[in-house]
Formats: sequence, structure tokens, C-alpha cells
Amino acid sequence: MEIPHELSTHSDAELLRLAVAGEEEAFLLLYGRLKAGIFRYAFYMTGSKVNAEEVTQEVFITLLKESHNYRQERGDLAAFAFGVARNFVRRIARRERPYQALPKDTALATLSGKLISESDALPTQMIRTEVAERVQAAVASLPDHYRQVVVLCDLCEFSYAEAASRLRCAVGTIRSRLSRAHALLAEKLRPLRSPQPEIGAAGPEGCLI
Amino acid sequence: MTCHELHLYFEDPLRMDAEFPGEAEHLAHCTECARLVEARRELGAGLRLVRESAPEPSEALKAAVLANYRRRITGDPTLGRSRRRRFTVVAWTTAAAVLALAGALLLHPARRLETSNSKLVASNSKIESAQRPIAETGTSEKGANRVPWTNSAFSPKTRLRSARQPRRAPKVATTKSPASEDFRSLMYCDVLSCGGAMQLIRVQLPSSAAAFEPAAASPYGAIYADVLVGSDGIARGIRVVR
Repeated sequence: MEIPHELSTHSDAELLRLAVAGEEEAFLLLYGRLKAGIFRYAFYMTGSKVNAEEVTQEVFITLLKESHNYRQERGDLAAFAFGVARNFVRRIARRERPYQALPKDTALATLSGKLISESDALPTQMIRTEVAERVQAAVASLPDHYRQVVVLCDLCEFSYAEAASRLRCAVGTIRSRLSRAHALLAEKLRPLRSPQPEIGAAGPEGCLI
Repeated sequence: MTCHELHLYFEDPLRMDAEFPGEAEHLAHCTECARLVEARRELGAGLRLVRESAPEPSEALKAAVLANYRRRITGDPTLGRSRRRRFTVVAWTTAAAVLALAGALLLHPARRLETSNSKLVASNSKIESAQRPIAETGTSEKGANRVPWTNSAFSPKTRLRSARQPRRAPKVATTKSPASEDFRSLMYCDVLSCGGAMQLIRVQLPSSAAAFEPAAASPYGAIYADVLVGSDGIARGIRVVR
């Protein structure tokens, strides 16, 4: 659908107001602006494309239903939508806590499938898949406040200021958390990176023959 | 360049993939720093890989969101109907609850009076049955167990009145009732403390226990007495049955 040019100059809050008033183009433009960030955030936080789509849909329904609760002076609409998304992600995490035993999610399978392309040689593809899965698992295992900043800054590519406004904390807090999160991630990924000790290096007590 | 400078440089998360000027010479000599830089770069590459391989939201999602939007904006009749139905259910539930509460409040004192009255009837019938052999031997007066002021409470008229005026304590329960003149008070009792329905219980006592009324002494060693018991279970008065 063609979006009128004059609408693209409107702020998110104005677009929401117009959308609630019945302007479908305004709603589509707003959806186009917000969907990527919300979907990616939900995807990395839940580890599932289905859940990420559910969260995205719920966020837009909530925006329409609760538009009267949005106060422009408290922050931009994207931050408000992100807050809604965060609540839905938490709700999904609570709902699916008893079922998190499966190691391979459908999203990871999709991810692995996407990583393999015709042009890559098979060993390269395998390594890339493995690395991506390992990094994603390491991110998922981080404490929540570190995971949030890694997802926002490293994976959703938000600036520090944007991440700070989404998480309602100072930019300095984002920086320090990200630094700590990177150190933790490097620590988590180290055992897989370091080479396996050779048998000869084990010493005489390590040899059973 | 020192190790400290290099660590400080790479502490900034934005410099994960950047190259520090003069880094190669330092890393050639310092294995610790080489490991750190390698770890950071590998992490950066891994994160980039994850970022690039993220799925895109499907077209079905867009269609679903748009359909939801249209339903909401155009005022889907099913949405309105469900809201109306919910309102109706809530309204009827509230009305039923209010009615039930009002009914319970109205009926409660009447029911209490009725209960006490039925207890009184039961006790009276028991007394009557206990009295019958005594009456046959002529030791008891005919109708001694009849309590006129309690009988008035059984009339439908009284019951209706008490249902309409639940807060008013029945007059029969006060010590000023005509029948209560024969009773000896067992405790300090005024209109306020003796309010509420009372129960009349006939008991058999050893004649020595009726020392307060020597004339009641029975040659059989036992006498009958009516005890007025309040709704709190405390005896208020006693009367020896002649």
C-alpha cells in the first residue's frame, strides 16, 4: 500500500492519534516504523519466531486499545511500545517456563537453515551455524539486566541513548552493563574457543596405559 | 602502548571490532592481551552473525495486525456484542448479589426469632412429656408449664411484625414480662442486658438445691424448676414449679 508522503513527516505519537481516528495509512506507517525493533527484541528474548510474532501483534493491539494511556511528555511512543513488548515477553516467559527443556527451538532451526547458503562451503556453513547457536545460547543464559542491553545494543542495534530510554536508566548504566555483559559472554564462550589439551600434555598420571 | 591502555581501549563496547593503533606490535609480544583481543573480536563476529541471521516478521503477521486494526476501527459487531454481553452479565450478577444480600439482612432476625421459638416449642414439648406422669399423680398444677408471653410470640402476626422490625428486641424477653414476676433473678439483669430471645428450660433439681424456697421441698427429694436462659447461654432467672 502506498503511504502518503505528508504522513512520513509525522511523529509516532501523531501517527498513533491518526490511526486511532481511523487513518489506516498512518497505522501502516507506524507499524512499519516500530515492528522491526519490537519483533527483533521479542525474538531474541523469547528465542522463538512464533512468540515474537505473537508479542508484536499484541503490542499493536495494546497500542490501539490503550492509546489514551500514552503520555508524550513521559517519552516517545517507541519506548512506550517497547515497555508493552517487555511485559508481553515476561508473560510469555512465565507461561513457557515449564516447557523450556527442549534444546532446539524452531527459531534456531530456522536460523540454522538460513545460515546455510549455496555459496558457502559445507565446513564454513557448519561453523557459522555452530557459532551463531553458541552465541545465542550464551546470550540467553545471561542475567536478565545484562541480556536486555546485549539484545538492545548488539542485536537490535539501538544506540545507547535509545536503549537507556527503553530501559529507563542512564546511558552510563547501559555502557557499564554492556561492558560487563561482554566480559561474561567472552567468559562463557572461552571453553569452546580454547583448544583441547593434547594427550601428551596430560602428564604420566593422565595416561592409563 | 601498555597492556593497561589496551584493556581500557577495549573496555568500550563500541570498540569490540575496532583496531587499536599500534596494536599489532603489542600483541606480538603479549599473549594475554592477544587472547583478550581475540576473544572480543570473536564475540563481535558471533553477535554480528546472530544479528544478520535473525528472521524477518512474516507477511501473515502484517495481515493479522491489519485485520485486527480494521476490526477495531470499523467497530466489529462481535466486539461490541461481547462487550455488551459482558456488561449484561456483570449487571445481572450484581443485581442478584444485592437482592440476596438484602434478603439475608431482612430475613436474618426473623429467622433467629423463629429458631429460638422452635427451640422453645421443643423444650416445652419435652417438659410436657416429662410433666405428664407428675400430673397424673396430682403433684403438678395443670398448665404450670404454660408460659403465656412465649405463646404470643408464635402467632403469625407477631412473626410478621418482627420480620418488619428486626432491630426491636421482643418484649417477651425482658424481665418486665408478666410471667417473669414468679422468677427469681440469678444475676443483675436490666432491659439492656437481658434483651433478646430467651429460652425456658425445665430442669429437675435435688430439693436441697432449692434452699431459696423452702416451701418447694418435695417429699421425693427432687423438685422441678423453670430456668430462663438468655441467647448467650447464661441463666437469668429461676422459678420453682409448684
